[in-house]
Amino acid sequence: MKPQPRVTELTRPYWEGANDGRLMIQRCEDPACAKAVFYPRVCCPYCQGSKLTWFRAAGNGSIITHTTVRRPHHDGFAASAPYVFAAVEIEEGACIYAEIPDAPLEGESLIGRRVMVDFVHHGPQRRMPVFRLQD
Amino acid sequence: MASVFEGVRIVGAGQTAYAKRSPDTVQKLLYVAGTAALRDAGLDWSRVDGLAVTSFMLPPDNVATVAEHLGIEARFLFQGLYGGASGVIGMAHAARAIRDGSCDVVVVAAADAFDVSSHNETLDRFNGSVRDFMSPQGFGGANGMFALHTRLYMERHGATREDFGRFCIALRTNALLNPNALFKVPLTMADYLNAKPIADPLRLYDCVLPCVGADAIVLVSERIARDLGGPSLRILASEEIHNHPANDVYATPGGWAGLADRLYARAGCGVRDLHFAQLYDDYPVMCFVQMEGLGICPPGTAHRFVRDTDITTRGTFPINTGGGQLSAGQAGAAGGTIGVYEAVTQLLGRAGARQVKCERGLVAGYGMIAYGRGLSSSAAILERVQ
Repeated sequence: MKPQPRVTELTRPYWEGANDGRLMIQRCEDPACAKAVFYPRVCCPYCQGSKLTWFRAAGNGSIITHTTVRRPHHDGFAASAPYVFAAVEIEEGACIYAEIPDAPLEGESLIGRRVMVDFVHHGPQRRMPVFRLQD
Repeated sequence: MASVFEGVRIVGAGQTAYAKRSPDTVQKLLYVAGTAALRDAGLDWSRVDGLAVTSFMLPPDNVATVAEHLGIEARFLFQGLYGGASGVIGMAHAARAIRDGSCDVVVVAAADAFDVSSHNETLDRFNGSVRDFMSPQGFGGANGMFALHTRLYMERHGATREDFGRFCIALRTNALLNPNALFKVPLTMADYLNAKPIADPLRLYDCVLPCVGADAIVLVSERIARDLGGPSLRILASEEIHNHPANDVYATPGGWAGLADRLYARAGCGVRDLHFAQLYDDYPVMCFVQMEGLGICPPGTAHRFVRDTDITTRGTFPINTGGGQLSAGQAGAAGGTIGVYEAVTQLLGRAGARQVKCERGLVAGYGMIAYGRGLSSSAAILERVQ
């Protein structure tokens, strides 16, 4: 089995959202900041403000950089390797790491390519956000 | 300019042979490297009243139980929690403790006994963000994380696989002169380019080999150094920075640009006054980022620097004169002290076949893999006392 996240009070909205097909991200409530925040935090890492609220991100983004994992870090990924793994900047402005299923394994740079979130089976009662190429 | 570490001297260095496997515990490795460093200085454990230890595999033990294990009554303890940045940071903390009169003789040591799978298991649980938001997503371990940085560096600056290859080949050339290094045969460009793919664009020789080993140095008060009578080094400056730049993983994966100005100003010297650099070489891209951040070459030009500069022990600007982690091996947290060991050994004039002509050199550290990058960067400039 693939490694599973530990769901805490802090991260529960993200993982419950994923199970429901929604990409949930935090945002700083201070209007002077209003940054999107990921991974989940107890305070805004930009302004240290105490109020963060969860919102549903549109799910669009672009690839910052990517790799093709051929020697996975965990036996749970052995059957799926090689696969494309990327840093994705969502349009609201936060970096999320995810697999890019169906992307070409080699031969072209995917940097800057548009992607859209999807949710795939990851384990018992667990869906995982991935991103798919849009063009 | 008076060093902020006035009154402190480095007098010895020790290293175990690096091995793929060993039955030795980290306590044994720390003891062996520490003993070698003390012997190098002309001291023994009875004089030690401080310990700085870094080891991922040490828990449930810690630096206090290491003191107990070795029978040391300590007035100063430091445990490195910053991964590969901890060697330089531990050295600086030890120097402050000696300067302030808390203690007189400190062994700064790091050890681990890793292989590929235990290294991956440790990294999977390294911290909350990796455990929950990188590992389950399939990040590919440290190899995958730094493959992301390598591809971005190549795209931004036009670096090629051959540029990283030149760097790795030079380090292998240096390692062949280091009897403790794990790799014993030369690396060719064809070997490098055609090696087993790991996480594109990284192949086998871009990735450090987790292994077993330990490194140590000994710091003493100036008074003790005088009594010993042998060669000694001073720390001109030592800096650390963490989470720099905050909230931007892909501006640069290392923080050295945020500490370099302070480092050189406090040291009272510049890059042109350095005779070598011992860089933290978990992946060649991180050495490129360090060379740029530390002003060894302008931003975005490290790949051109390694095309034009011989960085072997025979070259004009030697880098990682013992082969670094890429060719000596990465003994876990000892990866952050191998450069400190090598810098001290070179400046004391005890590097044997790989000795470079030097009076002053730089050593850098990097570690604490977190959400997309290592959070902790460190660097120091050491000088031989004339």
